[in-house]
Amino acid sequence: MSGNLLEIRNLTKNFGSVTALNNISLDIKTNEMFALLGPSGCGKTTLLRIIAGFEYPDSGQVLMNQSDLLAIPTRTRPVNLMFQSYALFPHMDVFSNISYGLTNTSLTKEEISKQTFEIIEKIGLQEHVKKKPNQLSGGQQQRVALARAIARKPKILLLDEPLSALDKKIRQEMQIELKRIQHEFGITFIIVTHDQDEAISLANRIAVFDRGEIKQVSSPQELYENPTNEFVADFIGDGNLFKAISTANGFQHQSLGEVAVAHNYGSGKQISVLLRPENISLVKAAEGTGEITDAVFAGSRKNITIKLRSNEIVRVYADKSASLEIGDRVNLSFKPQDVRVF
Amino acid sequence: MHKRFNLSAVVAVFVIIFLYLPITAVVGLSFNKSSNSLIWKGFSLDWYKTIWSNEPIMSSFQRTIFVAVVTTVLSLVIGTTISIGLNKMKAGGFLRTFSTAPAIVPDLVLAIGLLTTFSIISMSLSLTTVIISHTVFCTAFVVAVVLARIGLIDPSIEEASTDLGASAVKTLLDEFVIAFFTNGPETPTLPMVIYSMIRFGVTPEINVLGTLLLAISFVGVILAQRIGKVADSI
Repeated sequence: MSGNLLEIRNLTKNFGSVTALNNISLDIKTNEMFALLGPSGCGKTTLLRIIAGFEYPDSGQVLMNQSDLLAIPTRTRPVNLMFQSYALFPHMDVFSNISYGLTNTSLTKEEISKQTFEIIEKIGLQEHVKKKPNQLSGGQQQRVALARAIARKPKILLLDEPLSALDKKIRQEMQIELKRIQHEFGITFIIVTHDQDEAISLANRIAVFDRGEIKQVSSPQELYENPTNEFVADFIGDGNLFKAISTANGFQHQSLGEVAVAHNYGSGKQISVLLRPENISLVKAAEGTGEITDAVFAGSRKNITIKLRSNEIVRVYADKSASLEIGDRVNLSFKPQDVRVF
Repeated sequence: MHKRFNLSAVVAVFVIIFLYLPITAVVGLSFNKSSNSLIWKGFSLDWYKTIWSNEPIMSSFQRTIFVAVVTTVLSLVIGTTISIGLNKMKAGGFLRTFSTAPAIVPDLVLAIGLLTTFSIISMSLSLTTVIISHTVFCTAFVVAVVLARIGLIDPSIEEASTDLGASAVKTLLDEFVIAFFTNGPETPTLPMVIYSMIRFGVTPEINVLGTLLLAISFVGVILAQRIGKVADSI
């Protein structure tokens, strides 16, 4: 047995002339917190809907524990979805919403009631059992949606933009709660989101999607530190991307000068260079390569914006006590090992 | 707070007075001593006593109630099913308009059409044909009201039901219940229908019947709104 719960093989899905998924393959491990991340229209929602059983691919396979998941009807698939809109049944109280999935099984009434109350207790909804969805706050509604989705003990829980509708404080609370529940129930979570903070804060591994293709699959830290392409570099975290010309042992850039970095692009090619804002230090110099156009105090640091001679804009996180002011001329310094080239 | 003169509110009050004036007349005249309903001869509850022994009125009243109940159930079920179907088909304007047409075409045209249809299929006129005719008419109203509301229901709800293992039939029934109970307090048709039904009658007993019907209907509407408010979750 491989440790893979879900194996997605060469999946393609077109909607008319639009390609939503273009021959994607992906493995998801048992008990993972996995995120499908990308801008809207990148195909992540289509993949979610295929796994849930609301769409069927044009070609390719989805295997769960090595057997064909797509052959199992939506209603009996060991996969449940927590909808972005929650989609709670408005005419049912909290108890009936949560027990709904169990009433569609062969369990007895007593057993359904027992299991439902167990979940209600674990998710902390005891006070709201008799309430209708419209009598609950957004955070409480989400808990009900979560409880309802895990009541059938699915192997995979799909979460569609789980934190997007919540305000900041409840977001953080829910983030911790989701991790706790994932751990406690031992269910593999697949989160779909366009919000990198949501993906990074929740997931162990992230697949970054763009236009129907997977650009990179890695841990959040790896995506941030070692993006393998320009799209991921730009999409994840704050970064500065420069256009440079490769040389035999590095690259040449008008403002950054000649920098020695290992790469295998050969020389004389147009390449992209990534430098994260926290990896750049600024040195004041009368003839500096850039001019500070903005300096904003941001609590633990100062956010500096610089306009280079080459007209590129660079963002730098400086120490909060750094004496850098708008109008100062500066030179940029950085360690070659912090540079990524594509 | 300085209260501003509000022309639309004034107009609304006058329109309401105008609409309810005939009903007020009916209620007032039901207490008329005179046997001619248009001449006031003093206050009396006599007609409230005699109505119970007026056999034609009482038996037709019973039949009316029967037709009303059966028609209501039938047209709600048929109309809601049509609405759910049209909504799911993402039906365009033509089909939508078409299914509400019986509510818009003049009663006379519909009546002639129904009569012709019954005679073509050699169905003799009876309470059954009355119920069928009313159902045709009322279904159109149900579709008009439910279709407007059903579009506001989150389409994910149906998917959630399937995702949680419900059969297609169970999912449809749930949608049904949601469509029903989310027809909230803003459904104005019932009172409209009631007072459009009450016309000036010839004997004061008709006024009594009208007043009684009015009272029953208002209790019904108030109850429906209470229930609607509780169940209305959208």
